[in-house]
Amino acid sequence: MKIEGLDKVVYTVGRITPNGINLLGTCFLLNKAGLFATASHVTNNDNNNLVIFISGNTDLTTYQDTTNNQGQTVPASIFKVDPIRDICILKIDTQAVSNLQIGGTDDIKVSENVGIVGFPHCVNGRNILTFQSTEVGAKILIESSGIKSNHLVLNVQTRPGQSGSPIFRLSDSKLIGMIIGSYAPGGGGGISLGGIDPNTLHQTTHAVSSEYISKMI
Amino acid sequence: MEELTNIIQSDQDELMSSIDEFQADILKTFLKNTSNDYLTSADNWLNATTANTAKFGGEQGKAKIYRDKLLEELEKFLCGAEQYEEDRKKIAESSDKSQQYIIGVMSAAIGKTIGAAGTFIAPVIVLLILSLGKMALNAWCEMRKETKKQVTLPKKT
Repeated sequence: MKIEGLDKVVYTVGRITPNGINLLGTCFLLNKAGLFATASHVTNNDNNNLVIFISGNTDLTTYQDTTNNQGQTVPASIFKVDPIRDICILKIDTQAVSNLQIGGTDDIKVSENVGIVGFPHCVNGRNILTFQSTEVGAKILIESSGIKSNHLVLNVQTRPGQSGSPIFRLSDSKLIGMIIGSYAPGGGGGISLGGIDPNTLHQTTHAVSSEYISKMI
Repeated sequence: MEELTNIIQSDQDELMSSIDEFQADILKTFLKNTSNDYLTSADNWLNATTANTAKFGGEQGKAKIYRDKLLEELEKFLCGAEQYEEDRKKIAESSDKSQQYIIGVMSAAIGKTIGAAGTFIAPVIVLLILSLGKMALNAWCEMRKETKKQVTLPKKT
């Protein structure tokens, strides 16, 4: 899988506040003009002051400067939401489009290798585009409000900020899913140590199938 | 207002076609699972959360949107509250009288009030309208007024 140009596809979503911009998670440009996918919990389904943050400093082929917090914000609005699969499609006023080939979890087998591209820790203000590779550990059905949907277990630790990260099949860069979080009994949130939920410190990441994104655009 | 009177008289298929197909498919599953309980289905949409998954977004613990609050705003919209006057005018003056357009305007206006995207609450608006059971608009507005009247207890002597 080529890493060149991923900085023109994967960005952070943020919200403008009186104190500046709060980065909320990762999003990525789809193959329809101006449309981006992220997790619906990243935006909380709230349009107010939502932006896509473009830093110009996230090229994976160079050293990304951790002291450089400069960038542009582009107003975004929520175009479609599927709260069951935790997917949100954002729209910005642009003709920009990616050449992503959107597949789904049916296109990959357990043990196959995938690449994850996103912004771990962006919720703490760290806007560093990061590539991780791992393998599919399991194909699972996860329930939400009585509906079961196709998901993957990825054998990798992910962190806050990575929700909305695209997952590519390494052999041909086909999009197969999107990170939505990690396994935690009851959804976690019980204990916090220094802002970290110990329930999430493991290598069982949950990703939703991108087949549901195709149905929304 | 004729358009609003008509929309609450619409049948389920008409209203379902006013939202995106993937949303309508979800609502149909909810209705099947709940034996056509519109209000429980609305709660299922609003409270949906992926089971046993810690979310890695930056806004944890944001206030939930409650169905009762949406119903309150729907009442204001349908029963003539001044706050939604401009939006009702928009519907009345538009040449587009489709359910899709009317539900879209209502959802966007109510969503703005409660801090949610119109596309997120549109399915709930559809379910709440269906829950009215094609009651006449005036009768429903009167009924809502009656149920909210304060009960004054007699003074103790």
